[in-house]
Amino acid sequence: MGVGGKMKEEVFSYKGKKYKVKWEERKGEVIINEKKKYKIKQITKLTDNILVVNVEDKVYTLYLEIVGEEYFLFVNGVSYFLEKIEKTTYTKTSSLKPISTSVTSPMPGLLVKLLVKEGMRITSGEVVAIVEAMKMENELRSPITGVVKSVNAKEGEQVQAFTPIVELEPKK
Amino acid sequence: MGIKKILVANRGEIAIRIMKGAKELGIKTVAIYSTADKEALHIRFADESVLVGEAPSIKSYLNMDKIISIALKLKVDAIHPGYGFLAENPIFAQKCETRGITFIGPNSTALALVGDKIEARETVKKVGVPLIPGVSGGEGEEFVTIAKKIGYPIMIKASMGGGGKGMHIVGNESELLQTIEKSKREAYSSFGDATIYLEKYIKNARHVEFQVLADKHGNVVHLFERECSIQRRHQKIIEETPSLALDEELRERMGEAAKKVIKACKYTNAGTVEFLLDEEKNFYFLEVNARIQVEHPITEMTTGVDIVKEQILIAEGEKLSFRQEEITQKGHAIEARIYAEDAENNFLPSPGEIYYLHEPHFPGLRVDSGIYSGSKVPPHYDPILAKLIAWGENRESARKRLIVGLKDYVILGIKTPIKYLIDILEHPEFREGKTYTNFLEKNMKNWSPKEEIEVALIGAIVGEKKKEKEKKIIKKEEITSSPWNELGKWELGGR
Repeated sequence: MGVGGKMKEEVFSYKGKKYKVKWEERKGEVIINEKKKYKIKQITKLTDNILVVNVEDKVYTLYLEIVGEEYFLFVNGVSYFLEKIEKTTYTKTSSLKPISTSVTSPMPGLLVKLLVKEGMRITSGEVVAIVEAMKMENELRSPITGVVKSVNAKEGEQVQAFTPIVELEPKK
Repeated sequence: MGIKKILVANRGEIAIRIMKGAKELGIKTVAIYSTADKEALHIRFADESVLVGEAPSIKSYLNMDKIISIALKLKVDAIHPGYGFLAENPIFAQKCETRGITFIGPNSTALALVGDKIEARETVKKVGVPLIPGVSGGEGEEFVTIAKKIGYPIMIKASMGGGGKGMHIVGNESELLQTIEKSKREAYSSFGDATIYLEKYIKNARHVEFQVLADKHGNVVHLFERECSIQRRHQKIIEETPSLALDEELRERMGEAAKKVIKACKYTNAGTVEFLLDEEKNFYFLEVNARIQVEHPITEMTTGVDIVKEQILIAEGEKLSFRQEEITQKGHAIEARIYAEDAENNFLPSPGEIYYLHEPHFPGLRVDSGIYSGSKVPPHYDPILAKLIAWGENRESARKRLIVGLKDYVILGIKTPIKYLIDILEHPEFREGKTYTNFLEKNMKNWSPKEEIEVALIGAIVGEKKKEKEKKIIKKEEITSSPWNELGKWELGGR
């Protein structure tokens, strides 16, 4: 980390897109994705989590909390969840999240209905299972078209978040 | 029959709301909490707190015998059930009654009557309050014939339902049976009873409900209406009072009908009579909500009546201290509900940890909240986090105030629909009062937030800088003039 004058760089991902942010402290300049340049005129820290930033003479109140590589921000009513990614992974052009071949629940809950069996053919978007959390039923859909390779849970069981309930094999 | 100690059989914002009300009356409170709620905010507001059971509701907040035994052990005089959980459970009310504990709500008989939506319909029919065409009963294929007779679209409702659970609209016959099955499953899991009934679905309707207070001496008053047409999955998310759809004459007629319903059901304590209002201004009875409601603050803001306190006083056997003609409405109030859910991803629940919380505070705003910076939102319960309520001298000022408040309502770490709520309030159709129950489907279907990702990225690197500075302080590096270093000065304590 150098002193003023030197360009710094970080890469963030947001909703599956990558953003390269370069900045130079002394000039107060920020360049996003090598094209757009922003002039930062003032930064005031009100508390550990509230910053007032003057960008091109427009005033923004930014709320932020950093947890590891995760950045939670709030600006003008909108929440942002950014993840800092290693610059080396950025150079690879492969998509950030490979298409999943399993069905997982985004939250822990009760598996109330399982609509597939091993060996069943399934099309992308088809409902595979229903998980109940916070008293609402949520449909889990197949991310791909293919065949059910394995089923890892039973109806009536508690399922964890992001743990495969059903594994699929892509097949046309 | 003075109440000196109340056990609040609930959690989150409503438990806190009740404890505050009790405190103002000089009444001690007892909180119960599950293993998932050991660090929950509601405990802080109580004089005593007791672990009730494991995280799943059935083992904790729905565990009737355990709650009663805690109440007996701590010698509480009354139990306030809040909303949801055991609030409308006549078995629980009866258990309280037999053990000599005052249940702050209607008596168990009235609760059983209004809780059974089918039976409630029959009672209301007898006193001449209009009902939506519908049929109860039936099994499997019979529903197909019944639905055909009523005519599509059809609304499926859980007989013991509330809060939109188990409620679904069916457009045609092909979806009917599978949707009924889904409703039954949801009804069973939420209420322990899978009975459902069918009603004609009324298009371009408004949801208008009347808040009623009934004491044990036969006095009944209403505290005017609330319009709750903005609903998602039949769950209200924005509510307001007064309703633009009512004029004085209609308000009077509906208010009287609401009182008639309450009297016919021999109902006591606070309750809400829900109506649907169609485009021709015909109103139809929907159901009685036998509890304090999520949206009660808007009524409190415009009438000045503290509904929780009234509930306690009525439960003590007091007479209502005011008559109908003494109650007036002042100004306009709007409430927005803040849930732990992802508005950009089909409103999936978003449990997790709240890393940072900032609540708006300025005149005319009320925050009813159950969270704090660092609190955890468990996956086991209803995802409501908080409510923001704005009062204004008229609708437009209340609307604008609520928008300003929401823009200053920061919850980091989990997903909330705050921007979605702002966009509803800013929608021209909302501004013009074109609020019908299909509002969200019509106006917000392909919603996505308008983002300023560049500003967020700038925020992230400034945050980055913040972390780096902490290292620098140790290194005592030189300070040069740049916006970042001004930030640094702050961190060094204004050197």
